[in-house]
Amino acid sequence: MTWLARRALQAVVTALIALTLLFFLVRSLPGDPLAILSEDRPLTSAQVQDLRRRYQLDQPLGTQFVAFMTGALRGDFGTSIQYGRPVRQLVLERLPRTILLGAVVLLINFTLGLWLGVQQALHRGRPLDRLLTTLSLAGYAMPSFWLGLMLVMAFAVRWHWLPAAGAQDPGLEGAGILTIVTDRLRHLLLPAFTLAAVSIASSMRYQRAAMMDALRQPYVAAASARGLTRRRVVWGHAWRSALPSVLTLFGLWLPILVVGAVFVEQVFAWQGIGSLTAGAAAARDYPLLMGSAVLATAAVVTGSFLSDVLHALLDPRVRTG
Amino acid sequence: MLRRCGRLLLLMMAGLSATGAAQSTPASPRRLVIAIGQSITNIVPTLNRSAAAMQISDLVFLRLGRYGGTSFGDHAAVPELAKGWTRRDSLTIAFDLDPRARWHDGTAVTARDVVYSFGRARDPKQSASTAMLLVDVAGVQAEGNNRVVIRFSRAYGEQLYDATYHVQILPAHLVAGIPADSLATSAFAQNPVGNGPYRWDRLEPTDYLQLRSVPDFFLGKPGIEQLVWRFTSSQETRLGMLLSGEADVQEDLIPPLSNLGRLAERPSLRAVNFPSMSVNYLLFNERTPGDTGRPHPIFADREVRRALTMGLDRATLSQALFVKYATPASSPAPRAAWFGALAPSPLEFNAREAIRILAARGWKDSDGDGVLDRNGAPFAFNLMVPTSSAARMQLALIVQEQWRRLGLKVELVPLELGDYLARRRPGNFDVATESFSSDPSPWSLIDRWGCSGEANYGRYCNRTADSLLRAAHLAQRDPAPAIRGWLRTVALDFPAVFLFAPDKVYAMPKAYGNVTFQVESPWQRVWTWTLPSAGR
Repeated sequence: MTWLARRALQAVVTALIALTLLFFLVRSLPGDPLAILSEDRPLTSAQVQDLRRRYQLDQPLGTQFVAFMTGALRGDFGTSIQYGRPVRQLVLERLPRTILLGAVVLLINFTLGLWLGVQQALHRGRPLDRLLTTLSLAGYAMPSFWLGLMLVMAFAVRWHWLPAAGAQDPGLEGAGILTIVTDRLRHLLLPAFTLAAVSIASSMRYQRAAMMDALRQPYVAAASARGLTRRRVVWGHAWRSALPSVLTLFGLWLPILVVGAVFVEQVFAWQGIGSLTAGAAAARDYPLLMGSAVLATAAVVTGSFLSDVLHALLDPRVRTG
Repeated sequence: MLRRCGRLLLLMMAGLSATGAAQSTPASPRRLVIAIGQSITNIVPTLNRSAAAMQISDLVFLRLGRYGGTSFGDHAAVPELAKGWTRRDSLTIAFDLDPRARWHDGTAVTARDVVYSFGRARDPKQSASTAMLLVDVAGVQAEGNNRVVIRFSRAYGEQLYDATYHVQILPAHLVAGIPADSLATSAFAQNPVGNGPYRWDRLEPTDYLQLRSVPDFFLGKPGIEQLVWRFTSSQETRLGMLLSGEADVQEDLIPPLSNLGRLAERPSLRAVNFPSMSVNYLLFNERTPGDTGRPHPIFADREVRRALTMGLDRATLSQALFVKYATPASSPAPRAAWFGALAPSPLEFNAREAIRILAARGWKDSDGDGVLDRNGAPFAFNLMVPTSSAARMQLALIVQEQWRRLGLKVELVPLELGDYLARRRPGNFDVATESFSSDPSPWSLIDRWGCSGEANYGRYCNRTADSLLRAAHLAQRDPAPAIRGWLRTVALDFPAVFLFAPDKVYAMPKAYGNVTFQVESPWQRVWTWTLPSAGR
């Protein structure tokens, strides 16, 4: 329990330090957050002054920082300059589909990816291992936007099997739940496959290496010698001991899936947090950028915390020091 | 095991594809799906700022009259909410509302709505940009339920245009009770009630906006039942949606030109073009970047600007980017504007003459390094370009190469849009790749090219030009001579290299009839389109 409390406190401190750094880094970016508003119609100087006051951009940086932190503690990240709407509303609007896409990809990586990694280790050096290595590395080396576009060209444009973009078809009002679920799944398929294809290699490679290490351990040989079934030896002994090092990947993956799917989101018009953050960064929309930063920081800290906890659960030496 | 999983995955995909194959094609030919690059969150007049939102807003909220093809005189508008108007004297116009006009909740449109809407539009706290445009409106009064009288503080030729073009009418019975600063977050903004041919239906803020036709619209029944705008920032994806049948119309099809060829993949589509209100130009900064008090060391010289204009082969440039869908420009006047025809002819490309002019101004390659120099300083400058526009990036590369042949050292400075705009406002650039869409009134250009214009980022100033434009604005008879004089003066000052006026090129189904696009607001007349005789 002490270990857990210490680890939780460490996570909170890390988050505070990260947010402080992010706040000042964002403010040091070149550009003016109000400039984007004058893209279509120029603003008068009076309007610019008024907006500066409204968004507290005329205040000293320290005052702005205190306002941001106190607001963030209340869950209020201010109003987006670009959209003129509360940041929290914008983030919450996009979060569900980011979580949906991220969760599916995470599920694929940590089920299929790990299983394939184990198969590679068991067939080390044989054709299956070589084939899977080639395929996974090809996926890893492929730019996600290119793969996405190719899939759109094949599955949407040429064969009309799946939708090219978006998260839902318009015009389904009043449709049954089954139609709506099917529609969402059809829209999810290509972006999830694209993201999984370019990311599954790392979980496979990690799992393969950890599993090969585990298979070399004396206790695995001892388990085999005791006459346990191969399945029991592989999954009950070797895989369990290989798992903790792979779980650290989970901590790394969580933030990437929250804000890192920018290209895939753009190609498939999957309007999630990634594209929102990229747009906010380009427009220097400080409140929105910081709102996304809070989310990303929370994802990093939570991911790392969760992987430590899982690690500790699987390996008691971690929590006993 | 591996084979089992693979089979299961294929089976799932096949199942999902089969169940949804019919859905990926719009279900009804009575629905037009338009793929656009921006997200729309609000279409309420005075609250929205994006061009796309304003264009959609035109289908829901009407004006007293729509733009009539000129901004001058008493034919500057065509009746819309007002069935007609009478000029009482040089300062007063009375508008008679069409008694058939109704809000989408069934309430009649009244003079009170018009008075309220003008009040809101003229209040700088609620709508600063429109308030500036309506500075000559002295008062708006209701005379009974169906007549509104607008008084102007002075006599000028664009009174009718000002009274009709800038103000969309809002329902006073729904909006007047909402505090001005809460309108953006009000229930009305989430579910606006208008008076146009289409009513607000549904907004999925990240995906699409849907409007539904108003069958008993007082000017006629719209031909298309549903209009859907799908938001997709990637142009490649928009094209994918078009070719897969998920969208019917794609705005801004070119550049890249390759998109024209790819339209052939869906034979039911065609490319439609119409002149736009845009002009693309390379803006010279006439002041030193970072010190607007001092003239620019290179571009303060009009002759140098002239040489750089002559040294660009604009015909080749526009051909490379737009093939036949652009016209070389000589001034800020857009081709689609009524005053576009008054612009002088563009300067001919003549690289030899450009080099001669530069040499006469002291710019020669004295050290043989291929770059002109004067007093030891090379002819080097930066060309700022926003990375958000692939067309402008491509344009900048061609310009860089063409100017290199003159002996100029051009450094491209690609910037994210926010950074680009932030550097443009205080004048932290040498040359900027600009594109500007103006209103149909020449007076709207004073902001960009007038000495005290808020958007005059290049700090160009010619008092004579300003006087000519002001004279045109105030003209009560024929403004053409003053406008012609203004355009000629600006063209000869070379505050920018006016490159070309591009057309709007849309991809859309061949089957639709009576297709017309309004140059100032393309979707305004979509309700008059006729349905295809067969499905898609």
